[in-house]
Amino acid sequence: MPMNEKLELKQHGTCYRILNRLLKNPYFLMAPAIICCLVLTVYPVCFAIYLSFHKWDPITSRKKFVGLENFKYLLASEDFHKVLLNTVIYMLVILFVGLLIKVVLGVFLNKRTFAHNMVQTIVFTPHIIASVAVAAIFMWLMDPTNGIFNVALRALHLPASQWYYGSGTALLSVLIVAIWSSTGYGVLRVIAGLRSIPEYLYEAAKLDKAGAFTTFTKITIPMLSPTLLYLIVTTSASAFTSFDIVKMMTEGGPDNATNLIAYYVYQQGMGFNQYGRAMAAAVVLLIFNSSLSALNFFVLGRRTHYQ
Amino acid sequence: MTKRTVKRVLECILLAILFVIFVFPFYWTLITSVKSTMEAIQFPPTLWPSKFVWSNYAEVWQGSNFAHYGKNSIITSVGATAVTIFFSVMAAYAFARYEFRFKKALFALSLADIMIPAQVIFLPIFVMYSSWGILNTYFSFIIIFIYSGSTIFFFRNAFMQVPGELIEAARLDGSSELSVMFKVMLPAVRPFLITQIMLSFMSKWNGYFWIQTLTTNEKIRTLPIAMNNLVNQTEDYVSRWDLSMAGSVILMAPLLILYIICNRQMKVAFIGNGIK
Repeated sequence: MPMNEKLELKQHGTCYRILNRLLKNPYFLMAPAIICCLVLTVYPVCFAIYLSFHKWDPITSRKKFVGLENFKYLLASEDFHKVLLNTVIYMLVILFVGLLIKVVLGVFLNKRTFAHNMVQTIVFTPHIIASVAVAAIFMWLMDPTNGIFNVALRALHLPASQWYYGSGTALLSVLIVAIWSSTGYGVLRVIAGLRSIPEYLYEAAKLDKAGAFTTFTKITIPMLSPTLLYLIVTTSASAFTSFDIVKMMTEGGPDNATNLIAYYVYQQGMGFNQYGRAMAAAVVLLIFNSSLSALNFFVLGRRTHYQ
Repeated sequence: MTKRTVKRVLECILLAILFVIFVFPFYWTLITSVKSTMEAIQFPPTLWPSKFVWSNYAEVWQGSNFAHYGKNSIITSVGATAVTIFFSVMAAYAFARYEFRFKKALFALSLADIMIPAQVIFLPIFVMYSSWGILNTYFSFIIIFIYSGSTIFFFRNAFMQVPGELIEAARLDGSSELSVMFKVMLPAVRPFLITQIMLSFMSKWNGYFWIQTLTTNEKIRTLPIAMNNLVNQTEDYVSRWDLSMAGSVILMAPLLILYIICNRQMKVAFIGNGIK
């Protein structure tokens, strides 16, 4: 310890000196975060995997090892098949339709005029607010009797829809809300990606007399690919964790039409007290989701995160 | 010339359509929230309320007890943001500045939650909490947020960007470790700090999943839960959309106001500098 540091320390009290010592100890510094990580993340995951092999009645609190029984139940359960199918449909739609909208709007809004800027800001707004509020707003817009959507449809002499109450249209309604609220984030990401493409590439293309379409497919899309990959991975991961909108709008219904895997885990656990089954479904979710986030973090993370 | 004019007109039309798609739901929310119950559901609907019924807000605030939930929202969001930022900065500081045994392993461990969604661990945590008898307390809810892998990762990167010479210079001046931290390191990462505080607060304010799964009574529950109760509530088989929309406005207002005041900083916070 240099001489003058000792001098500075002398001017302060014991408390200051202790804090100063602790600040030099990396183990002390990371202790709270690491302990919480172990107790509230790592241990619960192990516990979840352990529970997935057990049958547990939370009321009598009796645990019984049942091996793969819970997984077999899920494999045989038609409800779970439907849940997986819903999740895959949700993922594919939000991936293809959602991504297409994001790229098209991103390219379209990538200008620095006042109007473009304002629309950018407005399109991003749903990302700021609670998904619960977004869901509530759309529940009102899509209300089958008085909602403005049906009023508009009737005024145009089109058949009104049951929206989130109808088993055929409920998943579509949830998807509309999910796409509406997630578009802004993707659009801004695409714009940021577009603006990082060096101008000289376009100038070179112009010199070569390349058409607008060629320029777009040969320069814009390849240069945008890190952004696109990032959006693809995060969007597909969101299909496995999306909960808020489903819980608010439909609670998985009607007849499991909107039951996605994240909600199914919650429903089995909190609703039906089937802890074993819930955790078996959670293990399935974990496998899907962690492979996607690992892909995102280790393969793409370096290029796209936190520039 | 004509081709260009057509293009301009088409562009304006598209911008207008986008504007309507994204503004209309908010407009309709605001308008409905000040209509009377009957006007809200009347046919044909009115685009402007014939009479402003401000009492909807009072009814939500007192009748649906938004005052209580709002208080809980503030306590939990501020508390959770404070612990996330404080403990993540501490851990990140260690990872960025010191060499020590097991550093790599501990760092890998600290990124665990990036791979583990909340939907997998909520039930084990719920079981643990209920066996320890700490369900439905602010404390047990807030400690969930002490550890956040992405925040640690973010601050570690920020601290690593601080030039070593700055720290060396402070050392030579005889600064103690505490002054290095508070006079050199924290000021150097100030923009990152502000960004993270903002993002963290927003995600906690909007957060629904944890409060829904880790609490069983209304004692510490927050506004998103109140919102859920509100939309499911009917009076004589009539949904009170006027009240639900007033509730939505109350839930959205703080963040919307923040967004209007500093929308550029917020966009940069979410997307990064590329958007400027």
